[in-house]
Amino acid sequence: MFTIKYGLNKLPEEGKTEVQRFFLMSLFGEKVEKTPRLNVAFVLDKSGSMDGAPIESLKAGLKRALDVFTENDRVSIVLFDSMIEVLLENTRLYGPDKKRVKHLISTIEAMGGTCIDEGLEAGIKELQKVKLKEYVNWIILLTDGKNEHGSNEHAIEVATQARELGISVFTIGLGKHWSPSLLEKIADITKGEMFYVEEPRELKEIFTEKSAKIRKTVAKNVEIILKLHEGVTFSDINPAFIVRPQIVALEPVLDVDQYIIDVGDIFEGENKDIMFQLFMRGNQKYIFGFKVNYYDIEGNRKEIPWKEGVPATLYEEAGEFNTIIERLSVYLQSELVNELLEGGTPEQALTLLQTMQMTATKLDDEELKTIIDQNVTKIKDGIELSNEDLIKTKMFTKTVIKDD
Amino acid sequence: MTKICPICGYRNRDSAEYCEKCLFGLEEVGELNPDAQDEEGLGDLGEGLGIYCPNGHWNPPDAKFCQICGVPLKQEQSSDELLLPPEEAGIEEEGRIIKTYKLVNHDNEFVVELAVHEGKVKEMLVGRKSGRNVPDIDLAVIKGSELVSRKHARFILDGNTGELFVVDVGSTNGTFVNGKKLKPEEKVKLNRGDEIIFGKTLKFILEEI
Repeated sequence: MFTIKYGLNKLPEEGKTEVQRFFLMSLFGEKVEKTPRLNVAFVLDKSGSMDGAPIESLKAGLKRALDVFTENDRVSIVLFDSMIEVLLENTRLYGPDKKRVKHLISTIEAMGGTCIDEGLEAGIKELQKVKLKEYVNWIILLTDGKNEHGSNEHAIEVATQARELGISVFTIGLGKHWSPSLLEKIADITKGEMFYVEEPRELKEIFTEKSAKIRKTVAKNVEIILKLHEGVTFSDINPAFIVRPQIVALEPVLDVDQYIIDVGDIFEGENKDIMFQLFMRGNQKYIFGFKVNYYDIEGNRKEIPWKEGVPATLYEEAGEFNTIIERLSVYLQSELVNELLEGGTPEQALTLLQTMQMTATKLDDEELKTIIDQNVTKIKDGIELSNEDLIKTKMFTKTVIKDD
Repeated sequence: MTKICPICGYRNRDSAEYCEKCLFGLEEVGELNPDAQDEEGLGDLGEGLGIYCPNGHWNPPDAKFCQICGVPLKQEQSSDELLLPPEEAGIEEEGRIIKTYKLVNHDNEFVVELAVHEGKVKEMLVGRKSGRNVPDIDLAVIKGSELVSRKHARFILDGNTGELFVVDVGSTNGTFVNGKKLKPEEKVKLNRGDEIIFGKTLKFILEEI
């Protein structure tokens, strides 16, 4: 199902009363015999701004994606503008059915406003028409705009409900007018991922790509359960993150004497890396006990049983670990930059950006460096960052390992 | 005791090596036990090779901006210059001295002279030498400096007004003026007869000339 390796960024130091350490737990998805049954709802923006190339690429891409699904899977299509239209109710796709659905897709026309939360809610409703336990349940959400006719708070409530049901969301933003913070929140809450599509023609591939990725699920709704040993505590402010494939802040939930950490699904051939920020004694020998709960792709509850004492030893690939810490620092600093710019203190934002600049140089990441350099220049000149700048900064700082 | 992050202002636990909030490397902010930290800190920073900014602050070799004061750094300095603070490299061209302050540590008969040059605002870093990372005023050479951070405080010599200020740059054990502890980045004007303490024990009296 999956293999786990783990360790500290640095050994504790005898003689110190307390040390700060990072712990990395890397889950790698191994191939499984069976293939999962998919239950996927496409929730798609058909607002007026999608008219022309975007909507045509969307239609072509959606038709192509149908080929990923077999007669064991379920597909739904929800369209939203300022209103909701369920184009395809939760359906099992037989061969002849695909033709009918392709025809339905051809009839989509772009018009109206944007109401993401209602679309998401309708998508969840469609998914729930089957027994969720028996499927891998995902929403693929696409928008090219801000949630002008909806409520962002409602979107967050709906995403939270989705997660409680074990549903995850891939959010896809097209062009330069969507809200990176809203799509990030939806993806993060549901333990999904967010993607950025610069050009409409890329829509021809992305639905197929993401559907194929869901097909590679090897374990779903994975939860890490931790019991910290005496002397070990989480950092108050940033206790845990998913750091790969994308950075997602996690909130460990305390349940009596153990922490429960929802990390989402694991895909074949992909790492899901979790990092903890801990404080421990200088002479700490063992850090915590842990077990992993998850569902296999047939919906059976499984667990990797308790490992009682995880020793305070090093993560074997120290260089990789350091890179992850540096990437995470850039992401966190970038979040603070956004807050400071919104709060009207660009001087302090500039200090952070200059630190990010140095880290990006060290990381030797040209794309990341280019966007940070550009942000520094703009802020120095007193120019406000554009929505496109915010999108690119978000995407380049959030993604630790580039998806090839 | 807390360690304040110089770039985001978060008040970290004293044992933090990285800022808990933004993961900025805090090794440079100063430690309770500077000797134990020196080797590691330097390792992270590239074995002591680096660039000094025009105000004399040490930075890693690839830095574009000074980590302490934010001024842009020139990357084209020769390798000899990279290793030396500006004074030693002979880059500085200074104007007429309009005033000299004298800081005296009576316990060690140690005197620091601060010359204010006309029309020029100069900053001088106070701290403890660590590898090739030498502050402008290195207190490592005198007894009782164990509680001084590598980057402890900054003197500001204002050549326009002739005034002298001290700023704590986030030291672990604090800078005190006449018994009052400075907040990090708090700028205090110094007057003749003032008592300045770096890191709890090291006392200086300001004697103006």
